[in-house]
Amino acid sequence: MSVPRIALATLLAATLLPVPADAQVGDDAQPPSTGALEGRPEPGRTSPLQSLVDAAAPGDRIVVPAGTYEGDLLIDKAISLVGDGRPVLRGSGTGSVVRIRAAGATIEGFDIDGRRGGDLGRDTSGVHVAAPRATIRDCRIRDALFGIYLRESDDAVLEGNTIVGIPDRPPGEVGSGIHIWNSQRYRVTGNQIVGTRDGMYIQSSSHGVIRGNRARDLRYGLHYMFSDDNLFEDNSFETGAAGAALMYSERITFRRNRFLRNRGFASVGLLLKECDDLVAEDNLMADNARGIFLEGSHRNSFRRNIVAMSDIAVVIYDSSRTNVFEDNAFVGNLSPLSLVGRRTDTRFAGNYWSDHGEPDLDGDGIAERPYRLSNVFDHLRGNLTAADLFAQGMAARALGAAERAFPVLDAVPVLDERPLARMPRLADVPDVTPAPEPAAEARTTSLWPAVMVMAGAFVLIAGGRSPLGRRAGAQGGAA
Amino acid sequence: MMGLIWLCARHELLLAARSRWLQWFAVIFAGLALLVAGSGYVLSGGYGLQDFARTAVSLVQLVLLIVPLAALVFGSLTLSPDRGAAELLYAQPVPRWAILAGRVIGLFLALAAAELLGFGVAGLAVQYYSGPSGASQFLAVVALSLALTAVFLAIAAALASGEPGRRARALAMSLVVWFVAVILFDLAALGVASMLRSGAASRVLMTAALVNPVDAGRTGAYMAIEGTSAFGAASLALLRFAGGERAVAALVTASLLLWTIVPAWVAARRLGRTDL
Amino acid sequence: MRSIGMALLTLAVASCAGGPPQPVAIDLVNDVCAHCRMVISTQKTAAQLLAPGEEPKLFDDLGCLRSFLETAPAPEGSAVFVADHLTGDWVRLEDAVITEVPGLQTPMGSGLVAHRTTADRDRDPASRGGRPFDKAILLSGGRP
Repeated sequence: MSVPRIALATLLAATLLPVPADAQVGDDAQPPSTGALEGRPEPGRTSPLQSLVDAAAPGDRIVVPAGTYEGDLLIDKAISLVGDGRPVLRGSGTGSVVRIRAAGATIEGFDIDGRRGGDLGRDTSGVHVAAPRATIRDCRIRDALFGIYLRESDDAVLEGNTIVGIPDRPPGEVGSGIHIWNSQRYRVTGNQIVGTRDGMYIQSSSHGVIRGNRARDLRYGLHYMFSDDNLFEDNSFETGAAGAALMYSERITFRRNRFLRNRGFASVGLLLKECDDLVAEDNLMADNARGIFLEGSHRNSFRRNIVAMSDIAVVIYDSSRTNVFEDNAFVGNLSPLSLVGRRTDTRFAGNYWSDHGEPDLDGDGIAERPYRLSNVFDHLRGNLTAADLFAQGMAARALGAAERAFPVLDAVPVLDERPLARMPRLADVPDVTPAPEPAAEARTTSLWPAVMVMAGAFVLIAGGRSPLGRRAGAQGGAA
Repeated sequence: MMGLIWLCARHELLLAARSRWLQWFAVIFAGLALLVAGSGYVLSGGYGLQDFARTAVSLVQLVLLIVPLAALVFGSLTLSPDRGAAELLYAQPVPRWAILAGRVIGLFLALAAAELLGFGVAGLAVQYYSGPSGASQFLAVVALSLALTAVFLAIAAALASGEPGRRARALAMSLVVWFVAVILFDLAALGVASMLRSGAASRVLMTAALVNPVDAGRTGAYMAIEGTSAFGAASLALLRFAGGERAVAALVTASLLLWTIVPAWVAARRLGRTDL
Repeated sequence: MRSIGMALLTLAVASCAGGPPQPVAIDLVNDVCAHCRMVISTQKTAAQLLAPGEEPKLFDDLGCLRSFLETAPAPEGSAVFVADHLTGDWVRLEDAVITEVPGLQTPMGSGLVAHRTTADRDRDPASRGGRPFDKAILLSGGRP
């Protein structure tokens, strides 16, 4: 059944209707610690659309015309609320703008403004869901503490939404773009997240599909724990201060994702802490402070990924067991490995290492000598953070060279026994997305090299033709 | 007095500009800078990532290795007061330190000009291939280079001034200094740190990274080029140890300045006492 | 050679700086939990372990401190500071009141919070429904 379009005037009139007496479900007096659910918004903070929702029957499709609707909205029926011409839902600034509390509800095609208000402890969100089978599609959410929050909401579908965080607010005072907590079998596809605390925060939520999303300019692109059997495909996690981090989880699959330009103090392209049986294939991990990080994580396999331009390509704690790296390409990393602890049983085989430089004499595509990932310096830096200050110094290189000459120094070497001699063609690995525009200063100061050449040449030529020349010449040249 | 120092500087610059040593240095430095810039471009070319930062960082490596060596060798060969010319020079009714100052300044100008030439050529090449980018990063490398030139010329002067007529000895000593500054000091610091507990070890390493002029230069240049997080978690520890970004910059500057002023002062004293 | 000696002397002096352990300030964008490796998002549930001669170890959740001590017991002479959940101020663990609040969302879900006094605990809405937690269990990493 479908409700015909309702004129704006009717909607505005609806705000004047008396509010039912049982409106105060979301009692503010309850302690935030128990995570009380926000319910029906208070009178005066209620969206004019509320009366429509209240009047609708389960299964109705309500089309909302363009316009700005101020106040918060409770959806407690299995209805579809569809915006036509991108109507704006402008929240009260005190709680979640849209609260979905009934199974099977849909909201689609709205611009949602959280007005920078609310309370992290109460999970104030653009769209807050606490009901199964919710669909949130094609919404643009901005200035909300959390963008979309799924709380114990199984089988949700989040599709094609754009979430923009609150600018200039410290990470401690904002929430994630998409926050998924205790919700199973979700589908998160084609969403864009910019400038929130974490892009996607996933906790205790399994059997989900996360595909084609892009999260950038935030803290963690992906922040993930206690969640198993999830599938990540074709996502981008970019320019995060921390990168992507997964903890205490099992059987996760990553295919064709990008982990790009995560360059903070503690950034990692993909961090695994106590994660087992993960499969990562055809991903691009480039320009991260550290590419891949494994601690206490077992039986994970990395195949056909490109790990490029990192300071350290792989960090492995010796608490990690039987991990495998095969057929990956490691390109332009400053160091291949930092090993924390004493030894590792991680298997490296058939990878390409751009700094290997060993010839392939018999033409089988395999370099004639194994590639050594470990060295004494990397042991040292693995166990002593400050040693990183010397990682690019001559001493670290000298240690590496000494080790090639006297292998006894590194008693338990980490080797790739059959490194590829040439960069493999990894057709499924995604390309790099375009970098942000270079700073304007670049264009104006592009004269510097020419100025330097001229200054240097001038000093040398003018100095050499000094009028003092005849007198000095008599003394003979020094040096 | 300033006029006199300037006269000596011009004179030294003239000799340097005409010397084969400096001409070779200019050519080799430009060639290496070009090579580094080119390979940096090739490395990043496939991805369009880290274009200029990576090139600048490679240039820093080159500078840290070559510039101290050139300044030490060139300085110790030139500034060693050999019998003959120096005797004549220092017999003038002018304080010896002023003559020395002039000569060091002249040498500095000559080396700086050669380095600028090299960076300029490399910079033009990078711009040609990848468009204008990262001028401030490039200037950080140039500043590092000039600072290290000054530091190691001053050290060379201190070494040479006490060894009249013993150029070979001054040269040998300056090579030892180069080896210590570039490798041995770091190896010792890392070795000591590996035997200490983590708190003391990281204080040793962070102090070492600021005390040795080569390390101070590297630390400062990397943080200028790649940002304060250049060394990952170690950066955070360093910022905390020093008391912030400005404090690190101040300590790096202080280290480089002290390593210029103190050896220069030692050189003047030693030259004043030497019997020529 | 003298300069090397001087440099090493400076190093030696610098590395002897000491005194009673003082809590370090946490940088909420960059500091990482020593156990779970997560960036520490909030001071309110943080803790730190200062072992003599070691770098300070920071934790984002009292549960992480507990798990860390489970695998690596604190050396003799260590000091443990916990943040007051109301104010974020550092309190020595010996002086603090620890409460376990089932269902409270702390960064790693332990539900553990610390307060300077029992009065502070009672003032803090977050600790409602909680029960006192034995500090000895925290230090021993949960072992009896």
